[in-house]
Amino acid sequence: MIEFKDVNKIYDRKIAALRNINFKIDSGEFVTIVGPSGAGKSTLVKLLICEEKPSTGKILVGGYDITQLTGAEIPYYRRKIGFVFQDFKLLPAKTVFENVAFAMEVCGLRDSLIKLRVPKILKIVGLHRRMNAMPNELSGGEKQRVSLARALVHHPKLLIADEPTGNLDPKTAFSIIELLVEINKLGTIVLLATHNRDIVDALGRRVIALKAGQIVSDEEKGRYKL
Amino acid sequence: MDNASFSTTAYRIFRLGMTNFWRNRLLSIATTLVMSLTLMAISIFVILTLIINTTIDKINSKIDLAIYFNEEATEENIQMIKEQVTRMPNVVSVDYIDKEKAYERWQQRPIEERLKQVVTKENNPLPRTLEIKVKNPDQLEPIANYFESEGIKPMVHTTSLNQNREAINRLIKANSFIRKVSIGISFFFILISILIVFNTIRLAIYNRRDEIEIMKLVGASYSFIRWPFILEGMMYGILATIISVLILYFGISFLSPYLSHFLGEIMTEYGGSLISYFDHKLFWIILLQLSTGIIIGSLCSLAAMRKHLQV
Repeated sequence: MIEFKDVNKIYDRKIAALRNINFKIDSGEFVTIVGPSGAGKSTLVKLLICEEKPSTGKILVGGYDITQLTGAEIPYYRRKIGFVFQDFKLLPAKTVFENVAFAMEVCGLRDSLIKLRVPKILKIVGLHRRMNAMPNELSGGEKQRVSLARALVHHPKLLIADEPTGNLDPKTAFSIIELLVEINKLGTIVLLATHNRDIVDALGRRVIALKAGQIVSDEEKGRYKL
Repeated sequence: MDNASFSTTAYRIFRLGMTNFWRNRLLSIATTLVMSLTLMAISIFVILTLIINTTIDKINSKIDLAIYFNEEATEENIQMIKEQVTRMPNVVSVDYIDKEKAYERWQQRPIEERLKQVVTKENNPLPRTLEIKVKNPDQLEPIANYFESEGIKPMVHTTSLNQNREAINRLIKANSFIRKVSIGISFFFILISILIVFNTIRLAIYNRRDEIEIMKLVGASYSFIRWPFILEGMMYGILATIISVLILYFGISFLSPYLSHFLGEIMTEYGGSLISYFDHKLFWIILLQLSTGIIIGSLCSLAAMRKHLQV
């Protein structure tokens, strides 16, 4: 489903953010990318969402080389992927419902579909009773759930979570990870980028470890060893 | 089919554009007013140029040559001159306007009553006139020279050829001066408008940067991201046109009576007043302003987006 082939990302001919990256991820996998700050986790995520292009190499998603996508094609590729970030990225002037619905509106989906799908997705993340709440009325964990719901509106095959628990307390962090595991069980590939040792060890899933832009280990039932 | 209809998508884009406008409403109002000034300056320049050109055409089209006789010239001499001029090669027709006809014409002029009363049947200072129409207006010199000849000149008070030439030259100079000043002023206002609209859209992009980032990440098409800003730019042009046309209309309505005795004869085809002239040209004035406003607004939006939106 996802394949990085000899991917390098070099900035200004000197700074190598990623070097010689090669790995495959199959459908239904839950993969954690670990590494200290500056290891290249965020750069890898940026390449996967086509925010940047690799200096060399190919990235195949669903058989398509996404490094060859044109500017006009990128939005349509991104509709197949869900993203969750550390800082939630919610719109403060919109309710929970409107924040999730926004992702469908801007992609040109009809109102009737939005009214049908959004409540269902909010139920999956456990926020169906808070649809009319504003972001400033939510806890950190609830905000991240809204962000997760927004990521799921297009029924993505791939969900990328870049430090989703960075701003959360341990208990809330684990509840978010449990949600990601549930989503994975439904068939979505989950790619979790984190430097939270406890979460990585508790998951017991495949771990790809990055250090100084290179993969130093790739284990099926990995632990945080860096 | 999961996709929304075109009208739903258009409404969403329109709503986003108007939200931009409303969020920075003070700045939006300032931008609209500056653009109104720009459109008014351009419109006033165009109207002035049109009036001057109409005046020049009017003068040229009236009669080719008019000869005004002194009070001392006898009727027999005037009739003799008329016959001689009629036989000249370039002449199409010669009309004799005696004092009575001149008086009637004066009474029909669109001028104030008190001016009309200056000339009465008993006290009529208006000169007797020969109105000469020619085939080729560029060849009036031989006819003008005839009236400069020794035997004829003493009977002639003045000819319109000199008056027209003088009037037309003055108008052409005035037109040229007005055009230069108007272009300068219009250019200045257009530049200010461009800077302000550009900056306003840039600020709108900055204020909506979180929304734009989310739109990019969830897969909004680039046109969905761009069009609200283009619409915002166009909205400045549309509102500025409305304000500018209203101000011009009321301004011209106020000034029209004061200018009627200057412009009355020129505006006879348009009802004899500046406001009726404005009414006749209203469609074109609106079209000019709307197209200028929308072009400035949308081009500035595009330029701001190219620099700051990165889509």
